[in-house]
Amino acid sequence: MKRTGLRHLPVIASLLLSPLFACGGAQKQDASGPNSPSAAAQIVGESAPPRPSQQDTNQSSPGASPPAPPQGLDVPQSKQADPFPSQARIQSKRAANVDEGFQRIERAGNDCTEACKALKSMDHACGELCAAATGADERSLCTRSTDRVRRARDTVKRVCGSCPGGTSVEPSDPVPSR
Amino acid sequence: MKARKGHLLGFVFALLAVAGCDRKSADVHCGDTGNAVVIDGPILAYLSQARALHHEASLHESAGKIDAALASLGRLVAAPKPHAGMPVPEVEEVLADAYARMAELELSQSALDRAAANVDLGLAHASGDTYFRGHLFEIRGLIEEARSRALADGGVGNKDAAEAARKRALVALEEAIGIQERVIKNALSDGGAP
Repeated sequence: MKRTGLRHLPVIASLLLSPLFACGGAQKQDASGPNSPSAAAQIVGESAPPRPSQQDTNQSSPGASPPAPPQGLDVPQSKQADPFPSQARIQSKRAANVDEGFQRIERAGNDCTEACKALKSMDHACGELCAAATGADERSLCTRSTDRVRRARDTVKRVCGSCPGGTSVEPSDPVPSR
Repeated sequence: MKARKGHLLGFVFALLAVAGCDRKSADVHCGDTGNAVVIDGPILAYLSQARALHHEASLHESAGKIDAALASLGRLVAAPKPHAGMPVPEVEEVLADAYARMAELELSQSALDRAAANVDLGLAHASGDTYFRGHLFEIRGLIEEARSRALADGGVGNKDAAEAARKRALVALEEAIGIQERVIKNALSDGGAP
């Protein structure tokens, strides 16, 4: 009964948390607060990249120039410095679109994870129900339940493509799938 | 008993909720409960503690020490809850999942009454159509099936009781199928939309 899920947790958590680092700059969150990405990273361990602490930031010399933005990143200029205000708006809109895209991906992944778990449970419950069924009425219940599983598989297959862990999404496969 | 990782996914969902909250303004509450609590330090600490205890239970379980695994999970469900008296969906999911895992472990030991009691305790933390509630009904079905078999093996006098347990198993399994069907429908309701 070895549990195999732990090895996936850092990867999944990293995927979930990575948008925070990508888009967190738009939020008014205290980086040292409990809801900050660094606090969440403490839960998931090594999966989160290191971030400079507030203390580190404050320790820079007062006269030091601000750090140059990483190469390859589009960093919007301030309104005063930007000779093309419309560009700033475009950048802002792009950032919002990217943020929305991340949320959509997160939501879709989350929904399919939930659906696959539910399908696995449904598949197993149906297998047990059919194994325990005796008599015409209970066999009919088994048939109806099997049809429900097959329809659910079809739905999950259409939206999610497949499920991890050997849970079948092929409506024509036997129920239970294993 | 089949390997299960529902509790781990529960933590993933909890972390996702944390991520979702992080992306909102600080005064936005998470979850759809009107009086829900914002994900904060105590909740994160509780989730971290829960993860550690699940991991500890997994190590014991891998070593065949089911009682020790149950003890780890027992510490989890007995641990102080953040924001006691306030609805915290992530904490409720952790508890529902922990009780489900305890019930499965007890089922593997044929401790059917204890397993059934933990299913009941788990259901108290899993309202509405959620994976956790469906999974708890699935386990209840397995427990009643096992009870039916045990009673049937016990002699002619237990025949009626065995049949009653078998009927209860069918009811629970059908309930599990219905809940999970709705979970899938709700999760993917807008998935096919253009």
